[in-house]
Amino acid sequence: MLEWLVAPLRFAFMVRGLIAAIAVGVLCSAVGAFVVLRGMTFIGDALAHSILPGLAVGFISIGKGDRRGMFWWAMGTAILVALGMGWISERTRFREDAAIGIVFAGMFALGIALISTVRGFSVDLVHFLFGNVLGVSNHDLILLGVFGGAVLLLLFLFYKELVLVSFDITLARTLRIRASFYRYLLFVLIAVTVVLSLQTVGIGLMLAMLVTPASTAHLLTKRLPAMLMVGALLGAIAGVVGLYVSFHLGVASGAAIVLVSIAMFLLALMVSNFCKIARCFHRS
Amino acid sequence: MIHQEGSAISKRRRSDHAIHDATAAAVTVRGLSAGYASYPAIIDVSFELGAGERLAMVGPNGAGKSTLLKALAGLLDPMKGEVLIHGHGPCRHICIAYVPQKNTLDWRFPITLTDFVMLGRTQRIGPLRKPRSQDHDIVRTSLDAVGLTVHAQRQIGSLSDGQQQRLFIARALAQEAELILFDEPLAGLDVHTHREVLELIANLYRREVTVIMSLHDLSIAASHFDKILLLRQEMLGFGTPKTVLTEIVLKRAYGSCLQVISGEDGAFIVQDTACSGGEHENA
Repeated sequence: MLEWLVAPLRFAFMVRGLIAAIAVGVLCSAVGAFVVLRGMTFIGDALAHSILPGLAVGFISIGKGDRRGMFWWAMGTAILVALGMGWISERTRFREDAAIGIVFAGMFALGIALISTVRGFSVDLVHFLFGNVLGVSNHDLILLGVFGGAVLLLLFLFYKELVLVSFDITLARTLRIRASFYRYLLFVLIAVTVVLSLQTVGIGLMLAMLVTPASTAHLLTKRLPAMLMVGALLGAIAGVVGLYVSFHLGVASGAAIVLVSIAMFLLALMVSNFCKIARCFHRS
Repeated sequence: MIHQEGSAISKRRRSDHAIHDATAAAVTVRGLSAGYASYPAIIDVSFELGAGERLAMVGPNGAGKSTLLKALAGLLDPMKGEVLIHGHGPCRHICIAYVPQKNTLDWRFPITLTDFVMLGRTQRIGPLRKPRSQDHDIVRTSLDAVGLTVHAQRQIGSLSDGQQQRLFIARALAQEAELILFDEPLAGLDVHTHREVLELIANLYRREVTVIMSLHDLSIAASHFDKILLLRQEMLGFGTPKTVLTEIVLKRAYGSCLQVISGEDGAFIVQDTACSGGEHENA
């Protein structure tokens, strides 16, 4: 048993992978709680695709192969796109999901148009969108630590206000709280989380980690602080268990993590339904 | 009273908010026109309310009741005219509680009744701070005042419609609101629950909280409120129930949708069938 646990740790890439999986699991689940509760799970996918024009421009201006430079282009574009989505849904009568959809489609098309003018780009793009948790470098881990830490800190500091604007924006306005500021802040926090996760674990895993642990935690808890804590814990557990499964069974790492987190969701669904049924019997 | 202690504290801490002008009326509206885009939903409304008065706002659907409430809350800018709350424009006040029409909130949101009421104190707690013990005390007293203490730690989704309205009142109390605006809080509630909510509003009177409520039931408006404002885009009447609820004025507001049965002593039983807005036509 001990050997089973220790064996993967002999490989530096596995250790880095575990650290990255835990960090992304915690970060995505915490931010994901707000994403799930506001009903904008679509935003992860949309942001990931919307950074395409930024990547294309970055690629054209700094040349291919420079992954570090691309990170900043991705981050800058994602933040701009997030602010744009917030702006459209605030200034127009569109709901948030419509605003997200419009920006998503426009930016993705612009990205494709730009890419079509350059040859040999698609391969690098694929690398960026489908990052590999086992291919994480020390530099990636530092970025993840600094930016992820900043996101969690802001989430903690402005927790009260972020909850208020997410739950009841009319109350926020009558209390004369700067509701738009906090809405934009939340959009930016989501954008930063998406880019960090994208680069380390790839688009598929990022989407799963943004939505699944938070939803699982929603089933199991009745208060938001508990939901955030449980979600972060579940995200981290999914990362670790998934990587061990991947190592020992030879399954692709990203897929293993997603499957573990989905399995936890199904288990929670059964438990919460079982509790409801049990309560019904208890009453009658 | 919790209400006054809290106000003094917050005035010391947050001087950027309007300090009430003691000589001004609680609510002053002068020549107010407001609405969306370039189309005014209300035109040239003027009235004045003293502190602690209860105003019922009646009129057919689409008469502009919600628009007027939003303008009073400072959620909608006037096109013309002005709104003054205790002598200042509403946008600098944090003492105005606005209870929107039902079901604008996600009741599955994972917060308890206590958390919900605490939200009303967000501004008074201030950014980067956690609720202090006095905030917890005020939340507890507010829940107690509306009789929801037993459910304090439950998730908000388990409440009945009437309990939801009571929870909104508790939140307004925790907010230390001096003006509470209700947009049709009685819609869809049964008669028993009506009474519960109206009793709580009578209690607000004792706390000198000014209440403005839009509603459809004219007999409740006449029996539970000090003043009535009759609205159909323009203000058709404002004053005590007796002066406003006259057959001629009501006919102007509702047209043929209203059933008026004259009684012997000049009082009458009236019913608003609310048909001009169209939303009740299928009912």
